[in-house]
Amino acid sequence: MTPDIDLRLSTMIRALDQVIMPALDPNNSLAREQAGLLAGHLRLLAAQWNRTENYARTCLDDLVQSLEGFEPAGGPHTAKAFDAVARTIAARSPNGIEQQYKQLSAVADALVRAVDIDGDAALRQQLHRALLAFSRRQALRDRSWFALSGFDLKPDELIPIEKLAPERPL
Amino acid sequence: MTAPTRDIEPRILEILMEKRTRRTQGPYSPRTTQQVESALLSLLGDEGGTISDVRRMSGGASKEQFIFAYDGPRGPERLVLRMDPLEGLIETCRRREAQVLRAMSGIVPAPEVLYVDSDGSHLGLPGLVTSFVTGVAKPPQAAASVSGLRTSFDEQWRARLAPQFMANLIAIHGVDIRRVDLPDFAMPDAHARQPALRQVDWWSQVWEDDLIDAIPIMAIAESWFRENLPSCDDPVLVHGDYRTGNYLFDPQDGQVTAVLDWELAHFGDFHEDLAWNLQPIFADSGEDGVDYVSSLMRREDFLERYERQSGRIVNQKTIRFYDALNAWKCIIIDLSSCLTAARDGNNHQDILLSWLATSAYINIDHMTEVLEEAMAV
Repeated sequence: MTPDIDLRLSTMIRALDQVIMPALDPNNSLAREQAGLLAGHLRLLAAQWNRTENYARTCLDDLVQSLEGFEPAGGPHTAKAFDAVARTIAARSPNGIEQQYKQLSAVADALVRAVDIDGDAALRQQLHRALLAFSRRQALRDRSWFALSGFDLKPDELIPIEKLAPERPL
Repeated sequence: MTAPTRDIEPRILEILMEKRTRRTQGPYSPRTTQQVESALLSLLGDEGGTISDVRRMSGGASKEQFIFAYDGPRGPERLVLRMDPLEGLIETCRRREAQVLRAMSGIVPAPEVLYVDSDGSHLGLPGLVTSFVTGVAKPPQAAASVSGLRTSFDEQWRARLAPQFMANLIAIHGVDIRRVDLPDFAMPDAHARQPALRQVDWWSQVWEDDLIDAIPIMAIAESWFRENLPSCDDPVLVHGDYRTGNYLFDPQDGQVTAVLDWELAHFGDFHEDLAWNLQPIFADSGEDGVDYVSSLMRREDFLERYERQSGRIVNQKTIRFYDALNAWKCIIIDLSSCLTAARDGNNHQDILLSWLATSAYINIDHMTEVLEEAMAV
């Protein structure tokens, strides 16, 4: 395992910053821009790579909680979509959390569309509220997760990355 | 894949369908300057001119851009080639772009279109050649991120540029769309909600075609848009990407020399261009800590100036609709089209596209906030 990933990433960033970028043709603006983006991606990766699974677990846990407590009320499209959500939640396992989060997002998206077709109006309103609230929390987390890309106008609002993805017992 | 039944402008729908075929032809290798020179000779060759000093330009997150010297019938000049990659962050039509650039002649400063290869028979992929316009997108030494985002202006620059920015926007919206020659543009005159519906249908098609990962808030947003389409009885020419980063100005006197990036232009609701500027992703904080839309004006100042100078009334409900819709559109661009192009290696700037995608959560945050407010009313 030695040299570890952090060390290798940091040497790549130093090589880019200190050797490669200064050597690029000043007139080749595309190459210079892409080299800068490469260094930026590497910095993001260095901050994220060993926290990805814990971060995905934080996101997954919140989405699961946001979808709990609803009862299917409506027609067959709604019933089928609810069933898919329930099965996805029941199939959770300790590994592959990022993929599980994406799968649950996909079935939740399908649930919203199904409830639009034949869901009960009250259910639809409650589901939208729950997922809007989740979306606000998730957007803040994801803004924080990618804070190092420097796009955010409100960096003071963001959560330190170590708090986003707390260490958990094995 | 099912045939779309959405209300999408015919030419835009053609382009989206062509993309489905084109994306399978990758991966894409960025063109060398020698390849570009040969392609240009094919396009311009009949004139007997000479092409030299072909150089790739930076920027152009959706198109490949080259500057070159051309000694042709008009004498020596510098020209710009703007051409499609296999896939970009937006899929648009060079023929429409050429039409709208020509229509803008004498209305706002814009590059002059000289040659169009709308089907790529000369260039390999569609492209157009325009005059080269001098100018900068940000003041010398000022900070800015990629694609003109987070451009930093001080008070002096804001004072120079904001009035021109507003005047040009109002001039674009003042074009007589019943008389202008835009044959590939379809008038949204079937019903008053058609301008808004067409936007929802266009971009929901893109989301469906380019989907990487489904996100439930996107379905909620689409559902809300369809139930809350605003009426528009007076469609205008909408630029579609009018913001700081998409115009050039003289770094000495601050005079705007060109409004750029017309590829998303369409007939629609003027609120759409206003709300595009309200996106936090296009804003910057001034040295006074205030957020400036398009790095130029406070939100209230921007909307008040537009009303005062254009004579149009800004409807707050319609602004809110387009505010959410534009955020949704940005999310679609960032989290679907950018990433499919990058995943498939179908763009000359894959690394830029994957970088831009990290900004999408600012748009999701903003859209969710606007939707929460709207649904609470």
